Amino acid sequence: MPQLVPFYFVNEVTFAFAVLVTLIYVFSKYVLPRFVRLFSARVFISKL
Amino acid sequence: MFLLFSPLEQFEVTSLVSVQLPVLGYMNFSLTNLGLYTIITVYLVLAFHFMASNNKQLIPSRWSISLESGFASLHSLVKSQIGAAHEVYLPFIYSLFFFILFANLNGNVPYGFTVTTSMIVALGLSVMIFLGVTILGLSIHKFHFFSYFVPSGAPAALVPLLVPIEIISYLARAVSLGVRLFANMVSGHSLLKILSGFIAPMFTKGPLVAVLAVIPFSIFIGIVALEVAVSFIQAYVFCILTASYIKDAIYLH
Repeated sequence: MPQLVPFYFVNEVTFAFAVLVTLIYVFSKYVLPRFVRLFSARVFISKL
Repeated sequence: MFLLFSPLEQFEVTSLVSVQLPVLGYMNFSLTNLGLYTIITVYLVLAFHFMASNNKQLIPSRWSISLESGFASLHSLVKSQIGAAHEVYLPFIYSLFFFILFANLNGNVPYGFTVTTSMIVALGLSVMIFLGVTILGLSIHKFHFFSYFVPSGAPAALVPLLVPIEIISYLARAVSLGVRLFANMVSGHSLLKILSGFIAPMFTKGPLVAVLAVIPFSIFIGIVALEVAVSFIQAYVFCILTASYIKDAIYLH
């Protein structure tokens, strides 16, 4: 299998993990709180 | 040379730019096609979220409706699997879903590279999840965690037989999660490559054959649509199983 070239093992895993950590940080810091604020704002508007 | 015409050629990881730096024993830092496509995937995921942010307006646009329904389904997944008290795992599951989804969809673009067809990436993710879940279980339940391997209500005589089976099935999770994703993507993309290798020459073999080639081509389009569906399904399955493993670690059966 071409993707099993041992030389790139660490390279591949490093890229995948770096990307995942970046995404988790950005989502948990900026995106997901915005969803919560948006949904709670809608609840307030509809209940008031 | 064989590799050039092989359907597996599209999965080859090649170095685009590489630098040999005199640190840690002349280490080679290279940007591979996989690295480039992971960066493209992150860009697309963040761009999609930026597009769908809708300028913080309360009334949703078409983009934000799609994103909000995605969020709602992932949120309900985490809530139903892990429980409402453990929504702290939502960012992880959410990131995992969008990373795998966009990596899979990005690979459906012709001549592109699919990040998740790399066995190391898929297995790296699944082994990381397996280790994380095991550490989570050990930190919550301490030594009691090992009762997970003894099914409740099992007769004492069967315990020596059941424990090895449970341990093997637990260890198999580390591999099965990654192999499921990797094998689905590799097989789908190989199939598309093989079929397109048969259909493409038919369009240049005379007018009659070219007209008749529309029939297999329409089936081929259907298989491409199936591959797009597989991209969604695999991302969802990966997340649902991750959530289920976290649930097992927290509640122990």
